[in-house]
Amino acid sequence: VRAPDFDEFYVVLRPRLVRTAYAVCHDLGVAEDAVQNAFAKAYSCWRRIWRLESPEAYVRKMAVNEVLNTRRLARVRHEVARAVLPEEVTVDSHASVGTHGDLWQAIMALPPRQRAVLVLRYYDDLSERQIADVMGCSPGTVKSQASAAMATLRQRFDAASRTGKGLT
Amino acid sequence: VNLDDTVRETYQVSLRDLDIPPGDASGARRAGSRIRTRRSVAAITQVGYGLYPAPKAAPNPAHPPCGPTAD
Repeated sequence: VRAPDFDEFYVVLRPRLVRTAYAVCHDLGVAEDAVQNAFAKAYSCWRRIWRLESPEAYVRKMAVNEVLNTRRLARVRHEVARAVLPEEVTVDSHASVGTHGDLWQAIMALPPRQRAVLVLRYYDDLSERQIADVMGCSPGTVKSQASAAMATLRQRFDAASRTGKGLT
Repeated sequence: VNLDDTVRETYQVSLRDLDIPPGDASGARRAGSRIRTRRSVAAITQVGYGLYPAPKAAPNPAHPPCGPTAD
């Protein structure tokens, strides 16, 4: 049996994986590099991978781990010192962004592994067991990471509702 | 507010309009081939340095192994 076309697999799956990786690292360059590395590794053993029940799940696992293991992630998630202070954020600018924009910022403030659990759960619609397989941990760990992430978001959401300002 | 639904919507909205530049499938194939070559070279080198046991050859009945004989 001839292996299916790698290029077609790449074209169909890549945008989805880049979005997932971006939601973990919040840096499009890092996300693209991680996904490209995952595809390169997949191609190096393509004859074995395409026979798996879900080649997509295998490549997603590689991409998510690539992005979680990247050294640059540590730099990306920290604040950057600048000579000129950015403009002060006002209540109006929060209002113009809306709930999704505010919540997105709150999600990006979570630790990387919690962000990975959330994107796999809410964007890729994976089960706890599937997420555990992707991240190489137990379903119980996935549950606790998701619970901690949602508790943080809930806390910020409630605080924002009380003050009438955007999420902090 | 159902936070689960809001988070799900947030992912849909925030990632939907992300402008993703086109990828390079041939670049991934080239990099993949290099990885495969590196693995093969590493395996051969390990055998060469005796770090990895080479597969044992099947005994040849026409040429029995050397060693002390019964007599």
